[in-house]
Amino acid sequence: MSGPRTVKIEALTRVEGEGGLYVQLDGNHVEDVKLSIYEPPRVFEAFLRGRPLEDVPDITARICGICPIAYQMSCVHALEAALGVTMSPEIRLLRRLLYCGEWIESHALHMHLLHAPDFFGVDSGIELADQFPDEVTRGLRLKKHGNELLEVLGGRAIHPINVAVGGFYKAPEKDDLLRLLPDFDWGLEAAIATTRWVATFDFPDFTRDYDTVALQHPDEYAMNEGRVASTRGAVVAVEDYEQHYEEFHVEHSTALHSRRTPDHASYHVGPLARLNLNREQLAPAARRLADEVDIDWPCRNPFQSIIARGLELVHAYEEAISIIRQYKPLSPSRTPYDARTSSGCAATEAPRGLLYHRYQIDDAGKITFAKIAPPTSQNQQQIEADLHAWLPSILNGDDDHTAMQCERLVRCYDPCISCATHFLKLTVDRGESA
Amino acid sequence: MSNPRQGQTLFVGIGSPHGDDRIGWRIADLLGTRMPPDISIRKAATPSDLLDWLEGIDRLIICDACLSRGGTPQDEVHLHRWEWPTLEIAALRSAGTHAFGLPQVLQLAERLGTLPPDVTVLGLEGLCFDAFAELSPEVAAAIDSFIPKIQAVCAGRHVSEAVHHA
Repeated sequence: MSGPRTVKIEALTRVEGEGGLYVQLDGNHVEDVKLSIYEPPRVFEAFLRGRPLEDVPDITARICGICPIAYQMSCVHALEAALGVTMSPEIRLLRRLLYCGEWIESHALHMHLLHAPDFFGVDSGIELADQFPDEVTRGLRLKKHGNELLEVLGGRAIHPINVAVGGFYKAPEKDDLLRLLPDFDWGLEAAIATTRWVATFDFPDFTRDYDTVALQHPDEYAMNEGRVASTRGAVVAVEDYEQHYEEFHVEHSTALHSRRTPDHASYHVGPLARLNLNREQLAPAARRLADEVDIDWPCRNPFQSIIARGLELVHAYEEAISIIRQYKPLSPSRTPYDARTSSGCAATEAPRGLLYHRYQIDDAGKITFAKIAPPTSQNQQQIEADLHAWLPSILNGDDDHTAMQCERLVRCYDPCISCATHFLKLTVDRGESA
Repeated sequence: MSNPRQGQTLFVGIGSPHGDDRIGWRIADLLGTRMPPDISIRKAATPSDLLDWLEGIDRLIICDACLSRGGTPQDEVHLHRWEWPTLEIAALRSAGTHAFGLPQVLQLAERLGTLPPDVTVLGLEGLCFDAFAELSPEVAAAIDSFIPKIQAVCAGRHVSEAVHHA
């Protein structure tokens, strides 16, 4: 096909939130790619100003119905850094358990209902259920386990309310956690079977020289704390994050983009980044499975992110089972603090990748400044770069084919547009002579 | 929120903290104190939450905010009722930010054989969906008046297809 051509996806499907894609071509040369997030900016940072710091976990949890725990974890750790609160090992462990619940729920949902359909040429999880009813049913059961854990620890599965600055408002009862164990023992085996299943999918031969970025911790598979590591070698303290990664505005998106400084390069956050950097720290069954699946680590094929999610699903079950078995009720469930004029930041690993928060507080404990850098915002520039590289190989069909292939690539990132707006329609511009 | 038992009716209010998208949650709260024990009440933030709660449920009633496609006065609040399956719901595009919309959730449950035989969807028209806004004054003023009708639906009594409150 020669001459200018435009391909538009007016609204991306099977992603969280609303966004579109615009592609401008001249023959088979890609002139421009714009991932346009048009969901209204939700201005959460401004909304938080003037609010008591105690309100922040419950407000930020409502940024997203899929990953509320991530927002709660990043905000409480940032506020605790500001207040000089040192949490007890028990609270720290319980927060990891809570995060395991969200990883299980979010990964199971994305793998089965949103991403797997792409590998079988079907439009939705509904059609996939016709071909693979047992696998989809299994996936929904895994998702349910995650929600049940959130309900026990978070007070409720939807916009949990039990996370407090300093710890938890109420410690869970041991019996309520122990009741989950039979399902979680089944879930671990089911997660292993699911990962083996997705590892057999037919993956496009497409690799990218990613700079993958994730938290790294010397003693554990990083979730709630660590240093910000990169496969390019830089490892920086979270306090220095903004010196190395900056947000910027582009006209075509209501969500801020992010780039590395000073070279303005894109970078990749999410399960693939975590696996590339921290694979050796996976729990034993997940670690063995990472060697068993047919991947040359570090993995640079975005389509194989579904395997990375599977491995993290296994890890989350293993760690959750271990924590539940050793859990002793917390007393006290919170570490006290005194409000003071201060500032603090933290990053944790949301299911979709690194989530950075920074806050300033006044003497009355009110928020005077808030900054939130969600993973989908950070991945936007990388998604556009990936599409730029992927497009030449998918232009030999009509615009519908091209659009479908573009959407496949975008979905590898499990983008959460709702979070980022603070995301898809595809437009391919092939000009008049297409 | 109560947990459903075998053979129960489940009422689910879907919502968010954003303006009139709170409708499903508010209705669930209002019903919570006024329903017989064989009817369970739950609140959902995404339609896919429903998939976790269908075991042992005979009747499912879902209440969510909806947007008017025009043709109704903007200062009136309207309650719509649909019995699943209906093309009118199946063709709906989720107006919210949910990865898996209500029609898709109902279709998936149907394919997997987990959807109860009796499914009713109640849609209450919202007027304002601003982030973190309270219910609009029009909806806040009208919402109580819909409770008897929704209770009647939950009890399996006949209710006229659409009702509205000026």
